[in-house]
Amino acid sequence: MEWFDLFHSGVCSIFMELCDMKEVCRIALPSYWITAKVFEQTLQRSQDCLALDNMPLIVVFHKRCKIMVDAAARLLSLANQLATRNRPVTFAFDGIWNEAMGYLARINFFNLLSEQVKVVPERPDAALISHHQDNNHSLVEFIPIHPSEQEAMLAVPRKLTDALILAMEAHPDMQRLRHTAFTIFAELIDNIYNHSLTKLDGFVGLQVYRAGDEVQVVVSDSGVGLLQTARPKFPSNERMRNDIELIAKIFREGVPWDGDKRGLGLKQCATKAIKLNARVNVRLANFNLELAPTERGYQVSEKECSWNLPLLQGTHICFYFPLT
Amino acid sequence: MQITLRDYMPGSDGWGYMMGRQVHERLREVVEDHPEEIVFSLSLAGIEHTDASFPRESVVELARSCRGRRGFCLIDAIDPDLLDNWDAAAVKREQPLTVWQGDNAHILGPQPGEGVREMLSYVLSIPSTITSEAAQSLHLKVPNASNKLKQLWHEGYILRRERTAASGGVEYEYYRIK
Repeated sequence: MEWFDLFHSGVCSIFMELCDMKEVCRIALPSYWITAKVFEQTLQRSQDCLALDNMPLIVVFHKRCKIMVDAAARLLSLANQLATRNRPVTFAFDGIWNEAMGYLARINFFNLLSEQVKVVPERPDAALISHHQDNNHSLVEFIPIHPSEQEAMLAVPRKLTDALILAMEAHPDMQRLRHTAFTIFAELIDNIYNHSLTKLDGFVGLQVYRAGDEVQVVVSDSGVGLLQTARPKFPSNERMRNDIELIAKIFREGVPWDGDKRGLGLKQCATKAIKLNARVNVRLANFNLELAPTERGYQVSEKECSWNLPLLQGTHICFYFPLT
Repeated sequence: MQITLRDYMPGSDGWGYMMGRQVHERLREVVEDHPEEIVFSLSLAGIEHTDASFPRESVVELARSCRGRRGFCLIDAIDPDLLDNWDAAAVKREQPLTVWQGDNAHILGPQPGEGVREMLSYVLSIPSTITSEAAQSLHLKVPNASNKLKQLWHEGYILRRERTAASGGVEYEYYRIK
């Protein structure tokens, strides 16, 4: 998107101010579907300026930008992480009615977005956002996950399970599917509590894409990252494996238990998710890895992996469940 | 003693390490408050979902810590798919759990070795036995039957108690966890 478009959006003065800023890192999200892959490619193109901690970041959303939930999760985590490092971040939404703004408001994005992130023209009304919550069977809005508020989160795995089951209503073995889904979500959320050491809230969300024939479920935290947690648990010879090999091993064979005889539950998740033929995408600090279900278990899908990405702390997992 | 597990949970879904530990503590109190009880039948009635962490930290860990002295079994497990995660939990803790459906028993977790499988089936089919009876029923020599029963007790599949033998000495009576 060109800055020119913004001058026609009715909020010229604000954008003038933004345009006048010479030393800014600008990321433009264009007028088509922004998947996690597209989002990562966009970030990668801005790698140099994203690495400059003092440079303000402006993310510009084209008025017809359509953002998918897997990309929205990463955007939210990135913005909140930068905000905690006191980096100025602005989200600029073009147009009187901006599609991305509408969707992000709908998925509870703004309620989880750091107050330090400036939103132009303005943040959507919180009361209006709340009014629509839980009204859509194809969506589980972003729910914050905080280690000290576990009781408030007791119903979250059930909520995600119900939404997934509803979307897959034609599945021949619904009851088994229900237990499978519940296990995946419960184990992943439990990992945020027990292993992520996150200072920012983690969050989960789900979106059904009927036209795309899939359900995306995101589980994100801004903690220390899966590899940092898991690598020390392996014997010394295994620790030397590269990141890809280790992640694949974690999902295929699990993480060796620590002194308390606890792993990370990821093998259990993978064992269940592969029965549903789900793809798994894992974004860690500087790379993005995709695991594809095969007869030999999860295998790394190298063409879907990307490296040397801008820093995104924590663990960001997205499951892609096919609807048929 | 029968315990309805759902009564010790905050809802019908059991998940996560923390909830598992909390329920574990509540169950442990019940167990300690009833020193006269040896076998605890845990009813899964009313439980809709569990992950693998919850049963591992709550029931399986309790069974493991009481192994050989007290026994825990599961009843009212109507949904077989629910038990997948209980099986995974029992495997992780290397602690077998017996599930009863009427008189039919099913073992979750580590399965008995081939050498003791027949003996376990025998013990599960009767209220209790002593070594000489088991040896006779399975056409084994007494020392062999004794070793098998001891192994099953040691691995947590069955319980035993001392009793006075007809000879006046002490012998073990082995019994199922039901």
